[in-house]
Amino acid sequence: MMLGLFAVACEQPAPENNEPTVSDSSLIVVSKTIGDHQAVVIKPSEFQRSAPVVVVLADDLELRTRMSPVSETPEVNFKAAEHCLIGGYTLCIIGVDSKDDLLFLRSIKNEFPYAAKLYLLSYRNGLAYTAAMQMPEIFAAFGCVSSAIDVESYKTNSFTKPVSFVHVHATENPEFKWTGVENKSASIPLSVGAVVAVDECTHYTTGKLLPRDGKGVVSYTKYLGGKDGHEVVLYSVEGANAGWCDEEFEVYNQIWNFYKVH
Amino acid sequence: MKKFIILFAALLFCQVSSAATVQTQTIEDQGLTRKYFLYIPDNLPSGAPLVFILHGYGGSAESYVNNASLPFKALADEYQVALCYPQAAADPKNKNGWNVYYPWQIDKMAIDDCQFICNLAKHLQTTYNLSAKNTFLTGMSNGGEMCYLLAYRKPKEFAAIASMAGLTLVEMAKRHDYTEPIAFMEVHGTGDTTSRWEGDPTGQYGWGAYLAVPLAVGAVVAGNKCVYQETTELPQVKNKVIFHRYYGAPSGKEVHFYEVRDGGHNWATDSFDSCRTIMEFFKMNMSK
Repeated sequence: MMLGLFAVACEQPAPENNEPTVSDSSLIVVSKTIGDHQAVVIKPSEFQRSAPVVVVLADDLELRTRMSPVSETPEVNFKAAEHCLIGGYTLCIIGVDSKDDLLFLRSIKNEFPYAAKLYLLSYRNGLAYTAAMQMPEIFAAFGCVSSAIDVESYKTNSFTKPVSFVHVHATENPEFKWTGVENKSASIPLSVGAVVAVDECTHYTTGKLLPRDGKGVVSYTKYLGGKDGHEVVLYSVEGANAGWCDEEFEVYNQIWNFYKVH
Repeated sequence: MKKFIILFAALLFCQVSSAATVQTQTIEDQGLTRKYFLYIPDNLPSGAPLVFILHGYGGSAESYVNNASLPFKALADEYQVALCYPQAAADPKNKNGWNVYYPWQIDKMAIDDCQFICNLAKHLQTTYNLSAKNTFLTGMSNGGEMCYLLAYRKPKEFAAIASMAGLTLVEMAKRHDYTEPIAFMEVHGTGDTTSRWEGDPTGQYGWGAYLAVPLAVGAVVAGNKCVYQETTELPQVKNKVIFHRYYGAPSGKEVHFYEVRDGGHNWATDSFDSCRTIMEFFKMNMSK
């Protein structure tokens, strides 16, 4: 544990505030401020400085949940962290709201100067899409869970460069509806389709995942043949889940594995 | 005598219902004499819309003019639009074909057919006082490919475009981007073995590599920035037809996609009234 804490202290600049740090045998959890955003960084205790970083843009509620000691929070994000560790990633969860200014992400590399690659995942907000439009060069791949392109943001932003993108969505999501929500969010196929178009994918394959414990039906569409090897994957989860959809399938593994090949 | 009266009455009725005739005309363009057929309904008002209808590969404009299953002339009378059926020139395979970057056309076919259609449009607009704002385009197969190519290259020249069984060749997507929103429609059979629904990423079927049809349509949708979608099943006549409507673009321009389940390489007229649907789509995109 001490070794892990020491390692974090070496890599990160001295915090200006008293950042709470929690650790158990496998994780180091540091809360800090990135730009004007609260963040939690989770690493394996024997982490490698070059480990790729998954930046998760989550809403405040999710972040507060993560700020609690790990042992007391067997929440979805904790599961995400566990899977991150299996994949050898560092996880950085940043609290945002859905209309957030993403300029601070331009300097995220400075927070993880040794990271081999940075990946971005937005959970219940469409900021990964906005970031893919605004800063395609900063992240090696993007992901979005249970959200879509923000309609307002899309009026002033456009996709300009190909990116690799993974999207997970339940077909009956009541908040971000599959066919779109007027003046709020784009339809899911059209959100994904916008990336497919900029990637110039030529074809697609579809399939179903094996049901997990008899729960849910999950199908996928992989859009292939994109420029420079970029690809897009959409996981469609039948049902009304508005969260991680991690009861229906191994969502974290699927996302982290997608990142791994990009 | 009775037979004669009936025949006379029938001839008179034909003349009354469609007195306008199809004119065969030519125009000089890019050093070639290009032929086209023009249909102008009687009493067509000044500033009326103009609709181009493009034939498929190896085909002829004349065969479209005289095709009873494509009732565009009757629709032109009803919707009060002029029709133009241009004839494609011979391509390097010595077949009548629009230059859409098929492998044997690239770098070997000097004709710019997009420019030809635009030049012809300007000529007709000026000569017959037709609307420059309300010029529309439809085409089948190779003519459908022209629909995509013109949507890429000359979107401002057309108020709306409707492709029948058309494709986006990879070469088009490589060379061009959708720079302007365009009202676009595609009708395509999922069982089309000529212009395959699933695309041909390697070009193994002979037309060169081309996008899966939903991705070709999706590229127009993305170019327009449509954000919402509706899906409706049309009343079934023969093949099931699923209508996908993509809308919510800042420009208001929509993309309509008719998926003809198990449909083949044709106008799908036996599954729904595709020609009238095209005219309705054009009508809803008419500028005042």
